[in-house]
Amino acid sequence: MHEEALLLGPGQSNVGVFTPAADNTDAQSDMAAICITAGLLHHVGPHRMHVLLARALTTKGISTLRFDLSGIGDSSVRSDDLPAQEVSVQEINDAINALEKRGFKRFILFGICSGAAQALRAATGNPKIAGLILVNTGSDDGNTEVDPRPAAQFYLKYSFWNLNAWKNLFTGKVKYRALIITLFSALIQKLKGNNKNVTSVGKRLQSRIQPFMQQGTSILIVLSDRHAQIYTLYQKAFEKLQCAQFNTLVYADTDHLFTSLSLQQDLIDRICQWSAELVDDGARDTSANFTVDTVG
Amino acid sequence: MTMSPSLINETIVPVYFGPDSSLYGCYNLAADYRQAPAVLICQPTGHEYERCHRAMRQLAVQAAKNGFSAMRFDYYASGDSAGNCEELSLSGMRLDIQQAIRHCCDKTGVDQLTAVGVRLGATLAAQLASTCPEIDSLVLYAPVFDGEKLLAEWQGDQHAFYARHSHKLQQPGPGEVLGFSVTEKFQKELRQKLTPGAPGPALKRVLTLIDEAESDSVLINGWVKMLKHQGIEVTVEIVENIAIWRREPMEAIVPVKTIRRIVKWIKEG
Repeated sequence: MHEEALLLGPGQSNVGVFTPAADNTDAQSDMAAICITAGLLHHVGPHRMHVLLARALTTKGISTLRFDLSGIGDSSVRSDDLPAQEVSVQEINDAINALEKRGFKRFILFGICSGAAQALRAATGNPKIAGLILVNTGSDDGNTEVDPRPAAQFYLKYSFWNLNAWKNLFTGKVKYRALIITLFSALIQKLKGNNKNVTSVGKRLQSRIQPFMQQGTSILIVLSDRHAQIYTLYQKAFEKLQCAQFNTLVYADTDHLFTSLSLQQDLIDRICQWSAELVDDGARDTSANFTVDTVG
Repeated sequence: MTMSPSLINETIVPVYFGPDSSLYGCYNLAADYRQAPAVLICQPTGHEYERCHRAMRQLAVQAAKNGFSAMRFDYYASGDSAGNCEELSLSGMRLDIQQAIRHCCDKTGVDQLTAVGVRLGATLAAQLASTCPEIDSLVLYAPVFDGEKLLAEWQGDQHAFYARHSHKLQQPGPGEVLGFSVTEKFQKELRQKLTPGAPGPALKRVLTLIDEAESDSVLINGWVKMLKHQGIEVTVEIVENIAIWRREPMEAIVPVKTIRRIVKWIKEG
């Protein structure tokens, strides 16, 4: 396998690496995957996960492009005044255009954390996006209001019973201000009897995802860390999205960036399997259109 | 390659080079790069690479803005280069630096360059300065001369991470450090002597940036003394908060003052 370094976009300012599908796969797909940068981490991905994923996907006949959005990793900083949210949509579309020139017609967008939010935004209204793989995404609707109760529930349900969490509390390893604000705000909300926001995270995400169901895009949601612990908040909203392929993986035993090597590998294997089924629609078990798998 | 000025103001060239095009590199080129002096940046490994990447990229940008052509690259089995993490080795990394020096000299037309190394990248660059006539000046950012101490730090950070998240993490496997595999073979290499030998005749200047805790390091001080004895201009500076590799990856710390200092020192040469 020979990977290729690329410059993307009209200004040739975004750096990317193209990983072609393996020559010996039965059928090379017209589908390619695009890995979008997570936060300020560059296109290699957290713990090199984008590289490992790209190389694993080649065995399923899927080529992959991982690239840096402007100002991240090896890419240049833009000097125009385009807002950041528009920049990411434009640059993801530039990446799609570059792959179209190589003959690809359908695309999977993969993102972790902010990369997932950018994937959601870029995929909206784009029928070329056959699949979305969103790892630890929020609702990304611009609503900055944060409901403190999921975090408070997490502290009370898990941290309260954990010896290490108490050790951390007494040895200065927690952010006291954030902890106090979270617990206090959650208490105030509870006393006020304000239940309106309890499922707001899930509902907002549902409203963002619903259009993709209609556009026929398959979605794989991956949740870990606190996202996994508050899955119950998403669940009701997700259950209403059964009209298309919608799968959820919940990793209860790992952190936000999948630091555990064994779970990194597990995630990559599952994404490869899911993507391979997407390439070959006939291979997909139609009874599994809506699934929730808990790992660990 | 000239970029559209409406979008960017720097020239970036990503490449694959080396045997079987297995190594990834990225140039930030000076405006007239065939006339410009060159800087090769030797990055750290594993989680340290991930956490220092943004800083190293900024160093390359600042170097290019100041008239240098800067090259960063990924060792075999790391970053975008070919190979699996388990294949990483110090001996392989040394060969990769030599390949990068060759590519950088060919690309930019220089015979000699400044090598800037970070952590193990600094150690290896200093080791190679003994034999590579192309390295005429060295910048060492927190070099590692004591492999046992490095392994202890990595294990300590891994344990601390696990303790912070143990209520939601699987027990890490052996040889696992903050999301990266550190094999027995690599650990064995680290336990061998890392202190560089006598420098080659090409080396003229060295800037060593260290943490205050390292200021009484016998290994570093002994090496510096040897360099001075050989008539090499050596500057040792203590840098506050030098350990950017110990911050969370998403923080992507850029030590702006230190980067400016490095570029200024290179320019003075």
